[in-house]
Amino acid sequence: MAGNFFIKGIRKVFAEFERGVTIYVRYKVWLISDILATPFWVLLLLYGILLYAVNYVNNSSVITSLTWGIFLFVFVSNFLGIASSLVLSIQQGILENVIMTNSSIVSHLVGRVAISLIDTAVIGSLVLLLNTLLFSANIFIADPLFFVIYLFLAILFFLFFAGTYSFLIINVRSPWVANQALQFIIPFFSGAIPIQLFSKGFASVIVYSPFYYVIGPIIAAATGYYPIDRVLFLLLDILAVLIMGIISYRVQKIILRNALKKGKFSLF
Amino acid sequence: MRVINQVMGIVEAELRSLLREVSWFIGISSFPFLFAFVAYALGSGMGGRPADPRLLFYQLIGLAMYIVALMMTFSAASFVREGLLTGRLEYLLSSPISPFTMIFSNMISSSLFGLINYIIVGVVATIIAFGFAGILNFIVSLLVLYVALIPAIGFSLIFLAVSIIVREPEPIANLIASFIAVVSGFLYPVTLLPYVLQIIGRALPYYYAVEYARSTVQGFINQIFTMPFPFMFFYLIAGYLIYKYFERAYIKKKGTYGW
Amino acid sequence: MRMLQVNEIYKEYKTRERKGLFNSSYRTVKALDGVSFEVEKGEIFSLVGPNGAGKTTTIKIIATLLIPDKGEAYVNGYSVIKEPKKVRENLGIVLYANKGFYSRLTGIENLVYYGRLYGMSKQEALRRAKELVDSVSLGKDAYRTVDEYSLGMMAKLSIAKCLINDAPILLFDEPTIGLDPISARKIRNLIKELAEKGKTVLLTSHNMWEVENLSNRVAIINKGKIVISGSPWEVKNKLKLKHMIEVEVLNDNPKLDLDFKIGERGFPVIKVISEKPTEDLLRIVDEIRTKGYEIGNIKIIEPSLEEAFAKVVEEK
Repeated sequence: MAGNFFIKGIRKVFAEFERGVTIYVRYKVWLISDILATPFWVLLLLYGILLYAVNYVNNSSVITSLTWGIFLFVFVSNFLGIASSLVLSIQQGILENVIMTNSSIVSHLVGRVAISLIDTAVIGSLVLLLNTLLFSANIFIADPLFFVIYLFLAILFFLFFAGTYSFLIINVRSPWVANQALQFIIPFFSGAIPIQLFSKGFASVIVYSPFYYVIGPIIAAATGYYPIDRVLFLLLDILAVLIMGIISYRVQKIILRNALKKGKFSLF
Repeated sequence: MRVINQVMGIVEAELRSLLREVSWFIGISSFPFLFAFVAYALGSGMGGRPADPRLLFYQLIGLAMYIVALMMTFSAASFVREGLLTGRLEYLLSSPISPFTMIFSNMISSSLFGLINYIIVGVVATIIAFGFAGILNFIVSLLVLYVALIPAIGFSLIFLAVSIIVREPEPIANLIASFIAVVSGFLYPVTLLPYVLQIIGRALPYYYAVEYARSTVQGFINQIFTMPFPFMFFYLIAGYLIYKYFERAYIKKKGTYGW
Repeated sequence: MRMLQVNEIYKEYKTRERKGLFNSSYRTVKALDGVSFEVEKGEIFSLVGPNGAGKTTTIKIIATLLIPDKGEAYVNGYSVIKEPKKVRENLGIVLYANKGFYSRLTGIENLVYYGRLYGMSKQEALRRAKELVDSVSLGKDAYRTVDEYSLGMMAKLSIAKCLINDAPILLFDEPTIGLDPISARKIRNLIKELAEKGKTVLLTSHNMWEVENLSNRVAIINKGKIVISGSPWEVKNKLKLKHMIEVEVLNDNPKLDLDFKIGERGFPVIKVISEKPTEDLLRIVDEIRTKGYEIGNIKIIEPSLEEAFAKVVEEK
């Protein structure tokens, strides 16, 4: 019985993942456009920040740090996109059909996770490559093993976060508005730009962001500068993932019932 | 009289639907604040003390101008595109309205929308950098910006034709929007850019719109007279001719959507 | 065996009304006002009513997609409120004819996707999808991406999706909308076959002819209340709808006490609206024969469900 349940669960996740990849590949023109537009957006972000520190334009180590910051920006933006995908599913009348299959909404979001992962890999790698070529950034990963572990934990964390967040914005017609704000605020004020680049006062504020314990370790492993011990960072990271997982489960249970009561899955 | 009624009808319907999407409006208006303040906070954080508010002004007003420029450039295309996808365009075209009246009406409503947005962001930015004394210059800058962006209508006509001809115009718009953002100096002086990009930026009308409008707010009103109008307006004429070519060669020939 | 049971369900909604550019107000709409009915195994039960009568709300409550404010519904004995997972296992559903699919996937890819979400293996889902594509006559269109589909193709795909999990109870919300007459007939035959094989069907439709021909029982719902229910014949009978009798007399200028008009074939036709068609027909025939005239055609036109529907809705 439990085995059957498990097999069905795995099948559902694979179906969602495969669906996500197939759709991603079918949007070829968008993919090409994104790849071609990436250098421009990178330049815009980089110069936009460097307007305040023009003397850093030729500083390779600062550019390297900012490069990882932009990589994390791409990562967070993509995962926030998962949340708006739920609203899109509602608008397209897909979510109700998915609910009818007894699939969980988190497993439905896996389809978008597939897109986010591929997109982060493609666009993120392009960002790293571009900054190496254009600004001589050094994208050598200082601590590869921990980088991979931290990145994996961040994927889990943001999957739970996107699950929770997607439910909170379930009846918002234009979720991109909230995404737009969060995609800047979350990474850039949670350690995507290494705290050593900031003054002490500013850095001490950043450590209060719960996202710092998920984003900060990735940057630390990439640049090799750990503000705290890497094992302690790992423990705090795992704790953040667990807390987010619990919040996600609770919020979804409450909001799902509320949504079914108010007919929010079908009001669009 | 009939044309005026048609224009008023479209403008009113467009403005109603734009303003009813409150979250959309907030999203557009908040973007300049969001980006500029994040950059300002990061800049201040890196410098260890509050950064120069004139830099905040520079980016805020630049981003507000970017939004106006995008609206002028793409709104007609997106109006037609949405019309094609929803079937509204065919209803419009089946009424006795000329396509140009339709596009013109849409441009008026999106310009008004852009104007509201520019005023909201621009007033805040001006007060931050120059106090209330800068407001008069800001009002003049409205005129400068819109006059300087008239050549963007040329681009608008080209994208309009493209949006009717190609199956997926949105990715093309995405690419062009990113390119315009980088080379036109909305967020930083183009002199920071590699030389090639500087040249491309100066060859486009957006650069002049943003530079002259921003200079006007900063008090350099006399500079308006150095604006290369004939060169900029070349884009308007070129855009119109290219649109006409597309119309003849593709849209009318293939009978695309009864255009 | 009772497969569906709906007991006194109530549901209210809030809708927003816009006035001018910025003003708006909320209004409460009573979508369902104590709806009750039941459906037996192998039965085709139709819910008909004007737009906004509460048909889709009822279907969504049965499908666990909406929780009622009051009342309860049971699907194959499972409560829609307390056991939604069990309920869903017993249902196949067509919710919308024009959406519910990924536009960049083909029809068959969408079906396989939903099949896998029901826990099938990829091969199993593909085999089932291919079978269903044939039974709904989607043919080669199943291999085109959904963004190229017409409304009719989407409707066929929706029906195929409804059948992918081979559920014992099927909910069809306007299944033949947008279909051409031949395709609609195929779908109706398919629904009949499914019922003959023991599937229980709850159907909503605006096509009264379709409802009358398909359904074992029908309920007319208006303003959230079931006004009348029973077999199509019972409904018409309860409403005391009148028959139309037409008798053609093969004479150019008959001398009769009954009114007549010249019919399509050029002969006089007597038309009478009757509550007792047999008695009235015999009386008319007697009179014609007594006067020595020959009778051409005789027609007794039964009242249609559409008339029953119109009577119920317009009287309300």
